[in-house]
Amino acid sequence: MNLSTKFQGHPYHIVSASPWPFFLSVVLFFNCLAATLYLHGYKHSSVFFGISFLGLLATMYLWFRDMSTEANIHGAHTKAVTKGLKIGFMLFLISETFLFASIFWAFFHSSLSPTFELGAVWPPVGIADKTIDPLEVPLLNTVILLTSGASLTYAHYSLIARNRENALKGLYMTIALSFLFLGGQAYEYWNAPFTISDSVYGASFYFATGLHGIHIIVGTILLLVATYNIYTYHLTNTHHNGFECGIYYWHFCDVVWLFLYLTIYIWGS
Amino acid sequence: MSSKLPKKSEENLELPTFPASEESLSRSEKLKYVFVRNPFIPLGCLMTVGTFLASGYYIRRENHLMANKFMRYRVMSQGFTLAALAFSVLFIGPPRREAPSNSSGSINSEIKK
Repeated sequence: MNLSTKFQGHPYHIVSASPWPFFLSVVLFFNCLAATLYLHGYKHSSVFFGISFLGLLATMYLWFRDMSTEANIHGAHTKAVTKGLKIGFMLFLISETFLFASIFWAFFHSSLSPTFELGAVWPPVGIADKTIDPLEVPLLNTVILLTSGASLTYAHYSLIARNRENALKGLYMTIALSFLFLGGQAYEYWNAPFTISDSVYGASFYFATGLHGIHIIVGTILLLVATYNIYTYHLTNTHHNGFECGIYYWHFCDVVWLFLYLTIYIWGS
Repeated sequence: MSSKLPKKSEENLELPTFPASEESLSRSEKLKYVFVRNPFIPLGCLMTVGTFLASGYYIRRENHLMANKFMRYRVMSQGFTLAALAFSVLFIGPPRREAPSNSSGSINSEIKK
């Protein structure tokens, strides 16, 4: 028997060819196309969007399933692999920080020296009396997000302390709070008296808060996957890299929201 | 030209002008004002970022318990920041100081002339 085919002499994960990156890029292309057609009022584009969105969900499920199998059943996620994944995730978060920094830069560039076309004031003329009150829905959303950070930290601690039930309870609460936050954002957008095309104020406001909202959606997906993994006994108190990265991502979104709230909602209104 | 310049004692009139009374501010203006006035808010922001980074450091070092501890501190720091903001709005408010008159010969009023 040739042992070299059964055992590997290194701790790294040599990934096998996967169709999911290609599938995902195709599905995302159709998703963008359908969304654009829908926004331009084309007939039946909502059906097209729905089908492509289902394709997106299916591809995500299949890719997550493969990764979970590699990590929990094949044992491919050794310490060396986990270390690499963590470095990759931290680099991703650094790039995210710069992305948000660029948005804050655009906001401060426009608000600190408002141009003549804006009336040389911030908020611009015509919008000044229409800004969103920071003590209403935005404050509620801030408290909701802070509470979700606390419940998620509780879930993390429970998993480390080998208390699966409490970890699941903490995660259920966090996911419920994330949906509440997104509902609050949707309500705010629905009732906002200005749009994304209302000068640079509307553009920077919706770009910043919308991008943050997309991050919250992604964070919720990561937490849903972690909940499934805990529910099916795939994670242990020492081996839960994906969950920990998801938690850190959630805290990152929470910190970004604090700065968004202080600058765009309070200082900028 | 030089005779029109204000005397040394009038230079303090160049300080930012304060609102005449608390009632003259809207709610968002008041918030904006106290954010500048209350140093606990930027301090809370710094603490939030610091504890967040420390948590990441311990995640990288595979120390789950310490990472969790700093996540708790992160939530507490953010709560502290919000509490400082709420405290400012409810109890501090803007200072009750009369606005200096613009007709007293400051540089701004000279420029306007």
